[in-house]
Amino acid sequence: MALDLTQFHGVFFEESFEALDSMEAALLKLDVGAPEPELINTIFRVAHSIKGGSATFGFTPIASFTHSLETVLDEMRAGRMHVTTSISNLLLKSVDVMRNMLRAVQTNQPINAQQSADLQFDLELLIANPGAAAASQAPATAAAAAVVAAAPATTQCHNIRFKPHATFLTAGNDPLLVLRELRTLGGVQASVDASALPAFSDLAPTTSYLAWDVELSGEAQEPSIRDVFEWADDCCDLEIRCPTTSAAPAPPPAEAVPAPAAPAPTPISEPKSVPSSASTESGSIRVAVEKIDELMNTVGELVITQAMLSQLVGKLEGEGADQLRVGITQLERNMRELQESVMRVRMLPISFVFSRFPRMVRDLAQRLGKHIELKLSGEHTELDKTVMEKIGDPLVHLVRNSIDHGIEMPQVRIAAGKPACGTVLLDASHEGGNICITVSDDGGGLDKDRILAKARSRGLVGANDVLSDEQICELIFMPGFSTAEQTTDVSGRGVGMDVVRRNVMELGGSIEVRTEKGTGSRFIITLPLTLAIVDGQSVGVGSETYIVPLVSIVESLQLQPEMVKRLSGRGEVFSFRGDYLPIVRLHEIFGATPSKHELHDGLVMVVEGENRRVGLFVDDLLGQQQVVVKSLEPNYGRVEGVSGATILGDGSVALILDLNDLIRTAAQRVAA
Amino acid sequence: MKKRAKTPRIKRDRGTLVLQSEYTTAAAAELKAALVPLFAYHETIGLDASGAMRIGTAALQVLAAFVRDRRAQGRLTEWRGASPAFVDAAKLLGLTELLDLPAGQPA
Repeated sequence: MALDLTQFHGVFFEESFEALDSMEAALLKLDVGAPEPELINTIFRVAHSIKGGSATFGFTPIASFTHSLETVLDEMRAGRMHVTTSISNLLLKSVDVMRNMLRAVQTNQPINAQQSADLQFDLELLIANPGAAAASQAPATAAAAAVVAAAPATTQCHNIRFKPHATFLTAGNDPLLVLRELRTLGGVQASVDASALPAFSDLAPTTSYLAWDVELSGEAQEPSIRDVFEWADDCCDLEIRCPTTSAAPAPPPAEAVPAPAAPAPTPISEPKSVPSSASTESGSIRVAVEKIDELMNTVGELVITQAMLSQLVGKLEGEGADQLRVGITQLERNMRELQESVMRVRMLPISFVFSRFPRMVRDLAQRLGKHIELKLSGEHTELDKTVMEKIGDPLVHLVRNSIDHGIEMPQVRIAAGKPACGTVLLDASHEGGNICITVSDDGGGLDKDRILAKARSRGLVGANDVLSDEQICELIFMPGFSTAEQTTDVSGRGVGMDVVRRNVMELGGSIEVRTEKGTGSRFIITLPLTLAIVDGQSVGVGSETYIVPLVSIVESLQLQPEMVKRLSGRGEVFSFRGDYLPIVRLHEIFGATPSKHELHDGLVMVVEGENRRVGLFVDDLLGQQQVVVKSLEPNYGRVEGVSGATILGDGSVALILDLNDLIRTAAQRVAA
Repeated sequence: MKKRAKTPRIKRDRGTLVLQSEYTTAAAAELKAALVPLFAYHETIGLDASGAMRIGTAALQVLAAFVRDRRAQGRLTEWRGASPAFVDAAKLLGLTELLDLPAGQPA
């Protein structure tokens, strides 16, 4: 029965995209002139894996393209080709093309053949004419030979039996490349087993007949050896026998010709032999997001059940009730731990987002003729996958702005007594239950005079209004605001910062800017770690309970009748720290029946959203608690002013308020 | 659309087969086809791999079977040149002896 390969496509694409990301990262780290061999190896391995995979799955154009790429990389690895800026640019473009091709195949779209053919032609040209890059061929070969001899005097020795299956070659693999890759791990002595090689006349040229016994000396560990065979795994027999320590020096290159007459592997000391496969598996597994969401959901249900039990047990009396209470307390503790563990499963390091920036900064800086160094810190800070997916675009915008508007041209910087090379810093850290992401640059900073002038000319600020520095900075978050003199394709269309702020606020976060003219600016984004659980204040309106996210609450107060003013046709306002804030009666929005009608009987909660504050009139505050957010949309539909629902300890449902939406709705009502 | 660079064809020159600069797995069949008519030659056959810059295992396997079987029938095959890349590949695969490649071949 033929094996259905399509079932592996998903994994292949996922792994390939990840591998391309790491290839891109390695390319960006590659020093022109003196590249680190390990980086070239990393890049080569990616190309090799993708080539192998796409050949296996029959994605011929990708396999063909990566073959050319692999050849270039192989030349670089062997030292026959030197890394120059133009080659590094070409390789980066290849990453883009491979990504595009993979994406096209993944989505069943046609591949942009012209694009890949052009680039492949350039790669082939480079292979055919490496003269421009390769200054010396002879020393390079010597260097390659030196690699073989470079095994340390006292080394471990792995014995590898490598028998490719008959289809090994047709699947796009080549034992030669495998052995070359092994050679990067240490000294390689391969003796061939040609016993299966048929008579010349019977030989099928693309069938693999040979097998090898390889002695690998050096300090390589078994997992890294297995990595070499990773893609070829299912089309070869592989046996790696445990290391033996040999005190003998590695043979000099002159004796490198193996003696096939004695193919028997050297005896191996038995007590040291360990099972070869068990220890080699990596420490992580791939799990579909849906499965984790399902788990999360179940844990959410458990939390509710546990809350219900806690409430019930409070009412119990008599023998055994105390014991039950102790048990429930223990359950509560375990539940919290379980909940935190499941949440941690959804957490990913922010490096997933940060990794796209080195390339972007490099390309933009080149395009704009600026010198920019990107510094990343706190890449290991973890946050929820959903938050991560949504924060990428706003960050891209901020970094682009820093490069385009912030960092000055080199000559301007030098004239200002700064180093010609500007710095953009991306930093992430945890602060309490939040994650704080900072994008800062050492550029010119925000030009407050120009911002103010622009705002005045647009009528956003009155001609005689006096604004504080902070208020001026806030202006850049107004819709349609841009001070860029020219609209470039990088930035300046003024559709930026307001969208950035809106996206951040939709995630329940906030953004602020600090700047000093001449020394740079700093954008600070604060986000909740997760969207799945909210710290909420439960409020009562009649028989209903609503949850207000704690992050939006400024303060709660009881109004005195004299604090309230009524404006004809514009509702009620109350005086709050020198400002007049509109009052929104929650029961009117949701059509509930309140138990308190007079403002001075109930409570007013000052809440903030969309840069506006309102007073939310409710009957009573009930308590603070963490609630598990359940979306209404998949099962019901979107409800204005509500971001989701949760189930309370007594089993009743409470709506979680979406204050941005609520404030907008309330403003529309007043206007109407 | 740009055209791809052409690789030189197999040349026969007074009993010497000059190998192409590149042999991918797919091109191994082409190599075998070129070797088949030479296989039965009683005279010594020369192989010149001095221009072989990139050679895959498939092609080396074809060459190894060719040289081995001719040797078994008492017919000689001689290397008239081999590029460092060719020698390196043969050595790494442990095929030097099977190919009758001189050990002193410059690497």
